[in-house]
Amino acid sequence: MGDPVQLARFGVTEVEAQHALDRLNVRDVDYADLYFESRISESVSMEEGLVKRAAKSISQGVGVRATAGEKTGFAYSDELTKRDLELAADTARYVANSPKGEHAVPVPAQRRPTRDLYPIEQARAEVATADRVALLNEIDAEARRYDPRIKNVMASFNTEFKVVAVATSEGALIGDIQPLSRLQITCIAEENGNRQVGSFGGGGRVGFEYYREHNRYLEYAREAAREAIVNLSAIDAPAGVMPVVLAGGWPGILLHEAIGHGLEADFNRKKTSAFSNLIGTRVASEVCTIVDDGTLPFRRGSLNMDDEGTPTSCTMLIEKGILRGYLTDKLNARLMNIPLTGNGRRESYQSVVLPRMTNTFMLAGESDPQDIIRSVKKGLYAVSFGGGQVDITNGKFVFSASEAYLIEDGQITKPVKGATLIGNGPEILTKVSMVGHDLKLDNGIGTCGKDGQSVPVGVGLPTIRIDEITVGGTQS
Amino acid sequence: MAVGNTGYAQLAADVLARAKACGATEADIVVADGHTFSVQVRVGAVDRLTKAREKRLGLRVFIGKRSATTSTSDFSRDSLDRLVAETCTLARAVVEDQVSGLPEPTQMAADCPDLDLYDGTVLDTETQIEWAKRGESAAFAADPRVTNSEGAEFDSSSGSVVLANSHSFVGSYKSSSYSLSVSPIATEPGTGAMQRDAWYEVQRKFSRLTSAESIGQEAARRTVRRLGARKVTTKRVPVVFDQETAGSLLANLCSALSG
Repeated sequence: MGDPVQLARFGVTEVEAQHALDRLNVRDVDYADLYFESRISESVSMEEGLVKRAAKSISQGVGVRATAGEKTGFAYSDELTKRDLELAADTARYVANSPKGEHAVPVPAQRRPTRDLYPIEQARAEVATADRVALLNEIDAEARRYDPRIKNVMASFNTEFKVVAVATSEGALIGDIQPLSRLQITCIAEENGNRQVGSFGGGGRVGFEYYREHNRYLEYAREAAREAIVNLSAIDAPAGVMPVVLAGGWPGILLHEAIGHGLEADFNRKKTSAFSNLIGTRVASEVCTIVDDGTLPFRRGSLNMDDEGTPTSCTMLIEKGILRGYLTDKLNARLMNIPLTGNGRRESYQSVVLPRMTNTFMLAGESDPQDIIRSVKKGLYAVSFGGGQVDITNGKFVFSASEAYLIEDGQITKPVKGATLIGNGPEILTKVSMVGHDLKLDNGIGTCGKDGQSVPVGVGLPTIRIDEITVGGTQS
Repeated sequence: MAVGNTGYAQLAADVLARAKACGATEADIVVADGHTFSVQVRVGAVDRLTKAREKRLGLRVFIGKRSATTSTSDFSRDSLDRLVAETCTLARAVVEDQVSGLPEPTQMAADCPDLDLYDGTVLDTETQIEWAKRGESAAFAADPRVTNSEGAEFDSSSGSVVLANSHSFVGSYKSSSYSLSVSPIATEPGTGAMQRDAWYEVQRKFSRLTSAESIGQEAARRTVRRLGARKVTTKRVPVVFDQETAGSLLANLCSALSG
């Protein structure tokens, strides 16, 4: 691991940070922190065979926060002078106007995260734009080579280099360097006036060389092309209640949306989640064990520390069907008196911390994936999903499949298009009857939205069978 | 030219000159800054209070038919000089786009209409907290089945935008926004099943906001009417789109049209 992140990088001294924290040190403030962030994002994109877009964005700033009971006072600034820090601290203190605290705020002691999940030596190296342009051009050629019916290829390569440091009223000063990149490809196939789309992508907390290794970028291109070509022969989706088999990997997004959000501590503290007050009770069938794990090397959802400086961890959410825990940040762990799990995340210095998922997945079971397919007389096999959304209060979700097939008499038969899965998060978990031994994590493309804040996440799933779920389609 | 933006107009002119020196044949720049305030109240108490001032500069350069865009929140001279140089380097790395470029100089707006988007009303913190509290309590009062709340939020913001380009165009405007949103949760007495919905209003002028009470009441009405929801069987039926949802049909159409 490299040197720890110093505040000097943001043009701020430890004493100035302590001074700002001291302004927040009043009787009713339980906790305060300063979050310094600098971020450089770059992207190049291609459409119609031409790499004609390149963009770069630079942002730097500080978020100042104080919590008092359930209240949060928050201010942020893109100027990092002593004066701006003081002004922000005075705003954050507004929620807890009370006499000066009795104990002095310690001068923050520099620490570094104990883990190094994404060594940054390579990510730090500048990659010439020309190399990224060349990569996208080769992707275009590969996708068109896959099948002449591929008529258009769109691809984008995004990188982010983020440096953060958190100084807390508890006297900690801890920083992290967080690289992130993603390659995304969409192909359009056309045949006799029928146009279909296919997408594939991948990434993580990895550098440019990751995509060239093992020719991953070419594999992504072929996958996107394959999905588009499969969809050319797809028939209309069936409609009605039927068994659904979810393939491993990205379909885990269904767990993330339908169950994960409902297990974030804030919704449960406010009793607005369908999972409120259910710890220790059965919420899923016995074959379901679900965790959130922020400690997997190089994964998109992984972090050495969360945005409050807490080390990330592997949190058991549901164990053999029994609800075991919620995902917490400092505020919610304190108010609910439950363990701190290292899930306090924020989109940027301009956003408040919320309990958020990292990499959320179901552990492998004992079934053979082939047996799972064979067990279905008539149903749907969903391989990949496009968008989806959930209402965490009533648990309802909707997902649209971007690649799916009919299962007839235990065999995967025709591809179908336009299939939508409609269900209820808590209910769906009780209907999982088989879990494959083939756990697969997604390829590193997920971005999760909550309260208008987007953060990178990972999902994962083995092949599973859900006994009944409503499929919205056009063929009854 | 609005008062207070002259500094940004000069900054824009400097950056454009710098871009030209780096080889840009055309360029445009947008500088925006603003204040935002937001307070969220939940079950009668302040849950979150946020205040900020922010600024951002966006630059687009053309080198012939090649172009690149960049943006930054760091307005220091050194940082902007570096950004201009990097933007030109990026533009040189991509391929030509025949349809790219600034509009013709003759197409620049000569006089801009005043759309009256700005309201100088400055609200104190307590007034804004009060609006959020009244909105939420109106939702609770509207129906006994409203049992919980995701909160009520009052936001106010104001800011200015300066746009300048290498055709010597400089334009600017100020705008403001005031909004209240209320998100109640209703519980079905028999089953304990919960539903939530929300209602909101956004206005450029503070005086045009109807009332916290009416927004809270509408939020309650929308939430309570969801209670007792049941499954329908799969069927083909006519569908009526609520005004709020109907707009999303247009949004889909627009995104298809814009490619």
